[in-house]
Amino acid sequence: MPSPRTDLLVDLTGVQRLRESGDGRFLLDIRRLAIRPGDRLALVGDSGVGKSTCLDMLSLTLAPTRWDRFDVSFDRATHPIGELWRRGERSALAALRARHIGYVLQTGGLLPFLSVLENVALPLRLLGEAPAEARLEAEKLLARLEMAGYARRLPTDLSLGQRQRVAVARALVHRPELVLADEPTASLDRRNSESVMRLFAELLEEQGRAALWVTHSAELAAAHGFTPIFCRVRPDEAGGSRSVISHGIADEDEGSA
Amino acid sequence: MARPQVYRLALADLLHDRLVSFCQLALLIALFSPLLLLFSLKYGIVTALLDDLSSDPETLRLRAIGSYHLQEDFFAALRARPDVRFVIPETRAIAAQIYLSREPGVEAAPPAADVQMIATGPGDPLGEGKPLTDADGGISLSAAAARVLGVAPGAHLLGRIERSRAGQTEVASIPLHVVSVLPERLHALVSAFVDLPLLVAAERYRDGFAVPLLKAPGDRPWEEIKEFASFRLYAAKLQDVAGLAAFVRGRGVEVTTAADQIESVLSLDRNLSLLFAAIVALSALGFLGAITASMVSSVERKRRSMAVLSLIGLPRGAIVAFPLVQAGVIALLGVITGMLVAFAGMAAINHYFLSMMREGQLAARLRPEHLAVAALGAILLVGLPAMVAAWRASRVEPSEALREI
Repeated sequence: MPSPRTDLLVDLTGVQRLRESGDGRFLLDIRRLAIRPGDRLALVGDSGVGKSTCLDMLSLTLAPTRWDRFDVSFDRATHPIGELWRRGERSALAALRARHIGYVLQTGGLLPFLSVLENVALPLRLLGEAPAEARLEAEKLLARLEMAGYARRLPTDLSLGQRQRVAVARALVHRPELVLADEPTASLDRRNSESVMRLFAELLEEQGRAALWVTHSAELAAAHGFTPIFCRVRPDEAGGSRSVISHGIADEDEGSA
Repeated sequence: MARPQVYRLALADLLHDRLVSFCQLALLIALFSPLLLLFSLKYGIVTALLDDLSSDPETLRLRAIGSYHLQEDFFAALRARPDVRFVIPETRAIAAQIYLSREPGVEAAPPAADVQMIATGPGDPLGEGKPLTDADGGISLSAAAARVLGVAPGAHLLGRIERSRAGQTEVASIPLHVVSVLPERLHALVSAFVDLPLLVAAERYRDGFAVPLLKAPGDRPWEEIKEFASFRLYAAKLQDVAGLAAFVRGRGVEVTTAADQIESVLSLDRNLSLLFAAIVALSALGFLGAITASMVSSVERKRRSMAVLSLIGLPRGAIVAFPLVQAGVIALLGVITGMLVAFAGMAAINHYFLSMMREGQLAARLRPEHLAVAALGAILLVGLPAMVAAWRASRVEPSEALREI
């Protein structure tokens, strides 16, 4: 096995997740997925191809069934995620998740009992930031997302588009190295969709963060500068189905590149 | 860092979900206040009944039926028992008569009466904490005796005891004074409470002995009484009466007691306690069902929020603590409010029953330990369902935040 690559944020080789249910057997087979700092990738595919499963594994909330390499490198330190799962070190995974990954969920996933400002400041508060600093950072980001006037409101007072902007702010407020977005525009109309993605892409660019966006639309992804990675399903030898993801050149080639 | 955050988040959610929080709080108050009020009423009334019984020394008394030959060892055994409040020997009733009259003064024929002497001593329950005699010839009179003699405390009396010796009637006199007058409720007969030596002297005098106390000669020289015919015996507490009666009967002395009367109040207490326990059990079961359903469904409704919190960094322990903190707040508010409501109810009940109670008695009353037990019970009743809710919360996976259900 080649030594860990600290220049890659995400370094997956031969990572699989098997799901067996009444519907049959489904295997998500990530043959290769390499994400560099600043990369903007879009995982594109129809429903049921395993995009969300891939996102779950990258968000360190779902264990792979098997792996050859499942490493992430944050703050120039490589973390063997596969090993952490094997050793059951859930708190280490949770700590990595909280500090280094940001999430934009489909319908925002905002906490209904906190104001917009408190929602955005929450990741910083959970990381131990002082309330005043956390609020200041959150206010700055909300202003950048044209939501400054809504800081004191509750999420239920906002439109879907506004909620997604707040969700983007919350995902980026603690300056994570990797941002995962799960179809953040799926429930928005075209105008809101464009607006949210524009702001999201601008902020990623400004902060130089890497992002993986799960979407059905390769066009929308490309329009905002995201490189599409296609998930394709095909029947496998065992009578089930297999979805294959492959992005990034092989270790040997990369090593010699 | 997660600990203060979980308090803040749990409280914010509790406030945001105020309708459900209020329902849970109302549910607890609806259980806690009436039960506390009911218990205070039961305790207050039973306490008042027991207090009524205890305040009447007659209830604690064991009366001997007939005359016996009771020696010092019998009395020593009784005095050694913790369930005995007071015991004193009594001489033969027939020998305990004394003729009392006001000391002759300006009146030609002062009022006089034949009075039954009753032995007394330190700690006599009829004295209600005060001595009934003094070393200087002080005695106490029953209200009836004082009325007949027309005397009050401080009055001087002359006591006369008659006997027949060699066909002659002899009279021994002794100057006495009134220390106190017992209220009617404590003793209704025409009696005088005197030190035991005077009673012994009267019996010995009537039996023909020489009695130094009465300065009277006799056929036989003075001799202490070795055997007494009876006694005046009081149990320490109401609950001691039956056991003490059994002990005395075991020594061959038949006694009558107010045991039936005591038992009826104690049995009322037991039955009311049983009834109360049944009401508590049923109410608690109903409450447990309702609050568990409410708390668990609350966790289920907030599953996504908890998953999001978990996803963005709130540790699993803090997620588990989320419903526990909320339950703690509900329990605290419920207990405080419930107590205030119960106190208000108790005040109303006590006001309503004021005229029916004796001074110092309350129809509804609680002791601090009752409140402590009630608060502990309420916390337990909220804590158990909260643990179920916490267990459900512990099953929330951060990946659930990524799923749109």
